Amino acid sequence: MALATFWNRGATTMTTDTALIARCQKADIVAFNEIVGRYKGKIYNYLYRMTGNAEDAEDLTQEVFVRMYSHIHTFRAEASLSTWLFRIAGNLCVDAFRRKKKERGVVSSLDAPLYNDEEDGGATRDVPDIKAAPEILFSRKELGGQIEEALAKLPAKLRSAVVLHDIEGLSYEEIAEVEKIPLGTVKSRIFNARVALRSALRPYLES
Amino acid sequence: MASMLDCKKIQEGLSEYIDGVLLEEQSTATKAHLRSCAVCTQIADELTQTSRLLAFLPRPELSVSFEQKLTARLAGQALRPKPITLGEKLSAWWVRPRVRPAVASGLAVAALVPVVVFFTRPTVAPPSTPNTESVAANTEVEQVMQEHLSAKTSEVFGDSSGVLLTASLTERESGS
Repeated sequence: MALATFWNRGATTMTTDTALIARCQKADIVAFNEIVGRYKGKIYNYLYRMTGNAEDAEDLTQEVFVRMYSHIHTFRAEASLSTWLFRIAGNLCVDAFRRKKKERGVVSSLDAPLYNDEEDGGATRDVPDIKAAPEILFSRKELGGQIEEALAKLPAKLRSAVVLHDIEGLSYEEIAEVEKIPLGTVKSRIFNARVALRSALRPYLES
Repeated sequence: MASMLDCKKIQEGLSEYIDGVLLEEQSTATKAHLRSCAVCTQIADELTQTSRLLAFLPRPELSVSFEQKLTARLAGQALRPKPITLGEKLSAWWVRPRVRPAVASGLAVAALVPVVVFFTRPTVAPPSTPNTESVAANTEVEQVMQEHLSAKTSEVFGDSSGVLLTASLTERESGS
C-alpha cells in the first residue's frame, strides 16, 4: 500500500515535470516559473553545501536557471528534470572551483577541502576535536554546525555524492547520471564520505 | 569467529547494506556476519547514524529577491520553443480530424484494390468461343461432299439411290 502510494506519487511528479517541460518548450514562461519554484530550494541547498558560501550558492543557483532557460528547448525527455538541473549545478561548481584556484594561483589553498577535486584526499584529513565543547553537544543548532563543518572538510567529489544521496535523496543511479561516473564509483564515494564523517562526528554517535 | 579478511570485505559493503542496495546474496552474508561480529555491527550502526545525522543540517533559505533578480536577468531573452521535428510534424498532421478520415478512407481503398483484383481474376481460362465462320465453312464443305457423294452414287447405280443415301446420312447425323 505504502509502496503503491510512493510509486503513484513519483509517477505524478514525473508526469507533472514532463508536462511543465513540454509547456516550457512551447515558450510558456508560467511553466518555467513553476519549475524554478519547485527546484530552487534543492539546487540552492546542494550548491550551498558545495561552495560553503550563501552568496556564491545563490549566484550559481541563478546561473542554473538561466542555463535551463536558454537550453530547455534542447532538453530530451529520457533524462529526469532534477537530474538535469543537478548536473548543470555540478558543472557550474566544478567551473567555480577551477576559477577560484586560478584566482588564488595555488593548487591547494586554506579552504582546500571545499574546492578540492581529489577523490579521497580529504577522507583522512583531521577534523577539530568536537569533544572539547561538551556543553553544546545537545544543541541541535550546534550539532548542525558541527556536521556542516565536517561536511565542508570532505573533498568536493565525496561531498557531492553524500549530499545528493543523504540530503537530496537521489538514488545511486541518479547520482551516476548527474556526475557522469560509473555506479561503482558512486558507491565508493558515498562509503568514503560516510567513513570520514563518522570519524568527525563520533562524539555525537551513540555507541 | 569472523576473520579479519571477512571483516574487511564486509565493511566495504556496509554503506550499501544500510542503504538496502546490496545484492540479495551479499546482503544475506552481511546480515549473518553482523550477528557474529561486534566490531562490524558497531561500524554499521555508526554509519547508519552518520547518514541520519545529515538530516539535522539546516536548509538554507534563498534571499527573497531571488526570483526578482532572475526575472531581471532573463528580461532581454525570449524562452525559445523547441524546434519541431519531422516526426512531430507528421504526427500533428495526422491528428488533424478533417484530414484523417479522408486519408484513412483513401488508404483503405488503395489497400483493397489489389486484394479485389487478386480474388476476382479468372483462375481457369474460359473455353474458346466457336468460330462461326469456320463452322459455316465446315457445313458448306459437308454439303458439297454430300452432293458429290449423291451424284457419284446415282452415276454408279443409275437411279436415285444416291439421293436416298444422302438423305439417310443426314437423318442419322441429326438423330445422333
